[in-house]
Amino acid sequence: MHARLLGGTSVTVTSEIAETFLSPVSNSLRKDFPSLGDPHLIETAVEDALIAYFNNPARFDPRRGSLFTYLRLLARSRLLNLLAGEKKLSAPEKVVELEAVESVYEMTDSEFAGPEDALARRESDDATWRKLRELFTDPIDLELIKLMMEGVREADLYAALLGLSSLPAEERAREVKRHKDRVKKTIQRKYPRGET
Amino acid sequence: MTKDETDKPLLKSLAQRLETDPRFMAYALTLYRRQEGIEVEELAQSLGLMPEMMARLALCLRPDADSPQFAAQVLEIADYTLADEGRLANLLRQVSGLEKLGRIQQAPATGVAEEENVTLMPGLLAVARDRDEAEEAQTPPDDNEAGE
Repeated sequence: MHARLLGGTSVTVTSEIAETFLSPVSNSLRKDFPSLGDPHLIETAVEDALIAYFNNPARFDPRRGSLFTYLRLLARSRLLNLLAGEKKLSAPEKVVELEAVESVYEMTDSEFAGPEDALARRESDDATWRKLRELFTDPIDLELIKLMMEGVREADLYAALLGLSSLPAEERAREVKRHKDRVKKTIQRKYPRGET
Repeated sequence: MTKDETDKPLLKSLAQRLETDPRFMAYALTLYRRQEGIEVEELAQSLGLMPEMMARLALCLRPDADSPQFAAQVLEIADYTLADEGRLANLLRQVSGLEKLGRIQQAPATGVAEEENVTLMPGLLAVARDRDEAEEAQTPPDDNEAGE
């Protein structure tokens, strides 16, 4: 995901990163700060960390640690700053700058097994998927939707799933698109105007 | 409470923070909603979108309507959010048009030209909308502008 964001090759990657890391980073900080007066401070801090990363992804060096660790440390430093501001601390040395943490994020991610783990949990646990399973009973349709929602762009993967691999390229692409449009239309029929 | 139920407020909150950042879909969706005077739920319906997908959509980067990659990028987002790519493309073109018109309004101009711009604005917006609707009506459902 980091490479896609850095390379500017994907328009969905920011959403994927937010879905993958927002909750795990927030949960991790809640464990570190279990008795915060204002729980929204953690949310604000994690949002700040993600926005800072989106604004300047090149500052993250994958060789020095995982993205989870990096975002967690950014969020933690931001949270400390917010807490310092809230308590109106006058000691500037207690305020951790975002930049300062970026050289020290070499640590293991015991709380986060990686994006694949997050994706798996998301799929199994998700209210959206419960609704989709009510709409689609064909396992191939569900697998097709899963590929779409995971941002898979390789037409060959869709063709293999749909049994279209033997078709000429142009026809294969057309058929894959027809199947994608079919599942979207099914969803649109389920959510007509006035039913949310 | 499921993970999804705990995730959604976090995602929505982040999406709201990004409503002022023109690089994100959150910005385009907000501008469009304000222009059309519609709520989030109505916008989801008009895009053929499951309501749960709105935050996911808002957190995507915004395709540039003038870019050669526009159709491919719209398709990428439409697949990722299970939205209708034709409607999504129309929304983005309309927002892009609004921004351009906004820039015309803000540009230094003579008093007369400025007055003309203000007078033309509602008419131009209506024409832009009519054009998008006409294009959509002419596009077969399985052959929208974004190819595979």
